[in-house]
Amino acid sequence: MTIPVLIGATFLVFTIMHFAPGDPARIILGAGASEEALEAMRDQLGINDSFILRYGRFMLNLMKGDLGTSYRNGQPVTGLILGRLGNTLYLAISGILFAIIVGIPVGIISAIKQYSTLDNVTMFITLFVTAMPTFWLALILVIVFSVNLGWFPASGMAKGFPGFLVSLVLPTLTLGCGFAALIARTTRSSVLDVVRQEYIDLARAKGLPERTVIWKHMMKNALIPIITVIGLNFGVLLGGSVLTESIFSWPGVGRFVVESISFKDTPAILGCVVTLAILFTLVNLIVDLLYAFLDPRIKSQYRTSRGDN
Amino acid sequence: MENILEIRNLRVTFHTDNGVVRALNGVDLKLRDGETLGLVGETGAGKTTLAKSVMRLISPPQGRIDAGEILFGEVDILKASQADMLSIRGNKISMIFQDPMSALNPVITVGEQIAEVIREHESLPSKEAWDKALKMLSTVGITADRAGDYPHQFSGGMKQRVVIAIALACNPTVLIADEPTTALDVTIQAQVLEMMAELKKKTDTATIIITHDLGIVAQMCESVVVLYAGEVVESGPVRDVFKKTAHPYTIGLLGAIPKIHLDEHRLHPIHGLMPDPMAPPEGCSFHERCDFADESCALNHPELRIIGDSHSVRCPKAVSR
Repeated sequence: MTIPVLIGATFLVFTIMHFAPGDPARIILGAGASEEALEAMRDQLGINDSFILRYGRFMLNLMKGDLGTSYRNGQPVTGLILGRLGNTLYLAISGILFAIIVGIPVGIISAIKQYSTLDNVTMFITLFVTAMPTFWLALILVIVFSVNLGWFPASGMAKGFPGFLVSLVLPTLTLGCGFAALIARTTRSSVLDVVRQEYIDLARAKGLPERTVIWKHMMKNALIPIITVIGLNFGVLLGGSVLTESIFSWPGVGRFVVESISFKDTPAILGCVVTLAILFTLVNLIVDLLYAFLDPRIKSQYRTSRGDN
Repeated sequence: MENILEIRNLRVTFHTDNGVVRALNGVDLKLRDGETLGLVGETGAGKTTLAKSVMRLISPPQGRIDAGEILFGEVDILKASQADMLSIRGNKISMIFQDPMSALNPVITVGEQIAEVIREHESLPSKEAWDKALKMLSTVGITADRAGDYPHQFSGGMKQRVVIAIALACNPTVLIADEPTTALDVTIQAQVLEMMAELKKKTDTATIIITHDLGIVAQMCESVVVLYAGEVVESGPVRDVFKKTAHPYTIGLLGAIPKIHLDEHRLHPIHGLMPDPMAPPEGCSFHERCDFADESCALNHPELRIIGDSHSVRCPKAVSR
């Protein structure tokens, strides 16, 4: 799957960049550059070649693992991205962890206390949070927690412990809140599906304590749809990281994309797209593997059948 | 013999958006030590509700036990603490579920599903609990090497064997089998029943078999309770109920069994349907379908009365016939 996704994504972005206004040569050399210098620069960058030739050249280099050099500072794009990828991953992982740690228990409680006031209030809040735009949430968080209360920095990534974690809090909340609400809602409906199954009655009839019934018998079954939602929405999360990173000046790939777009730095943008696409497909691969781990019925589809029903 | 389980005046209702469903309307039942009792009735009569009440698995807020006592030895199950209940369920009283296809957890190995109940109730190290689970598997006729398999790798009959192994794993004093063979095809039914009869001989567990198959009752049970619209309409020793059948509903049930030695071309169903449990009729709940009913049946709700040696019936006309 990775290959077609990569070809599609890069082709799309490449086309958009090709038709976008703005001349990279002028951006690099500045407004005062002479026409000859600009022309020479365009030649050097290969912009004068045809679209197909440029795209072909890009793909060839991509296969060699070379994402080209940035228009902005002439450094290899691969290195620029790798230097920022870690920061994006920290943020993405902490956002997902926050969403899971908050979302799943909230969903379970909501499902078990279905139609109670607690359930209704929780579902209203999750709906509200899901509908909240990321940038608005980010600004509210900054106003409340850094401007008024002064607990967390409003932007930037601090180094060392505990500074790093402290600076991670607001971006994580921004990125994770909507996701947590989504997970909570999915968990609720998924658990409600499982609660009515007869094997849950049987588990209770065995005299197992409620804790075991929920975590062992319900959750292993309910997790499958939850993991699907997490996997599918990882792309949304990466998209959200572009916004979040820009707002909080988080030095990750997301902010790098935005900076590169304003510079019309095509190689850098393409490099980021390729990186995010690979990340996304990797996550989906992990999700597929988790399915097999959670559900033996899926695992046995991959194996040769034993010849039973 | 002593009563191991006694249900007195059990009333259960389900509260739905459309109204209140009266599932059980004052059911009395006695199960003696070592006895096999058949609980008979058509779909919706309240059989499964009765079974779940004994396990206290009627789930609120929809399901409510409004009145009654379920005495298990000295303990009233309806008043027992949650902790007592956990140690009774699966250990002293256990239940075989109706549909083996949905009663087993699809993502847990069958061995673990058996071992789990043993670990919960017997303080055994997990290795020994597992070994005991394997022994249970072979008791129900499944080779121990399949313990690591998942439910979807078993056929329906095999799954029901696993469900039975779970129910019997802790040597319960009372076993409730809720239509244990309804979901199985006929040949497998025979196998499973035979196995249950054999296990019963070995362990002497007091058993309630819930069924709508009177053949099973005749074959397996010593006494029988006929349930209609949430009420006991006839109960007594199997021999009496089958030979000196007193209640018109039981007569209808027995008459509905096709007789292979007679050259019959039509089945003899009981006409009509069970009354709406949200609006039970005045008088006898069966009078609308009864061939013997007169005006008084539509007015007076009959009481259960004894007509023979522990044979009782809820019909005032039963003796005069």
